[in-house]
Amino acid sequence: MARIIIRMTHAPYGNAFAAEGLDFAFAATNYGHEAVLLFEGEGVLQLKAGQQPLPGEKNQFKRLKAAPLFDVEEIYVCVESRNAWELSDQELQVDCQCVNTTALLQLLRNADHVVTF
Amino acid sequence: MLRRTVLVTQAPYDQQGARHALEYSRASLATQPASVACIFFYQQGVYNANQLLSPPTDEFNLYQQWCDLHKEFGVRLLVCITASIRRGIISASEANSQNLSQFSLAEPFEQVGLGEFFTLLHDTDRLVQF
Repeated sequence: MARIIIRMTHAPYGNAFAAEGLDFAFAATNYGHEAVLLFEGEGVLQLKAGQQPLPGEKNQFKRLKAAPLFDVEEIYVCVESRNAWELSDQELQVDCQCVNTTALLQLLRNADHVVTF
Repeated sequence: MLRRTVLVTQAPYDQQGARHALEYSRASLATQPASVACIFFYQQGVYNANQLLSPPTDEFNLYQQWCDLHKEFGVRLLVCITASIRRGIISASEANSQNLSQFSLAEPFEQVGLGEFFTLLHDTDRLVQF
């Protein structure tokens, strides 16, 4: 079993990174690994409540809310990115922990593998 | 010996990562055969498996290089089936089951689920992403 940190660095929609990053995380836990999500840069926008994707697009926010059902329980947000994108507490509706750069680097150091989307 | 899995998420030609992945894998395998457990193509990396890729003859042929790598070292070239099919990278059997008249993926590339990758990952020391 490996502890995999999955860095989410892109905003949802308009690209495949957010959706496929989450597919990757859910498959990881499904096959006996530990998947940890880390939102950095514009990736923090995936955590924003009130998303209205186009028909035929999966709602990334709803999928993230359901992450614990897929055994993805550790979700971290880079606090600097969160501030840069001015995500308020009302907007940040996903259960997650804000981390500063030091804590973020420690997270990466403690992981077995790191994958970036 | 460190066992590596190489994860390719970049497309050929339009991006550089796939070529770097090839060169890295080749260097690793040349030094220690079996040091790369498999090469897994995900996201835009699935485009590497397109057998119809036809660069000019005086340009680098990445598709051919992947095939040569497999031929020389036996390293498995695994393509995420969900990610590839939605991008039109599809084997003959899958194309058939979807009533598509053409197909784009063939041996030595294999279309598998993400599960295959994560199963192999249990026996891997390092995951290297390009």
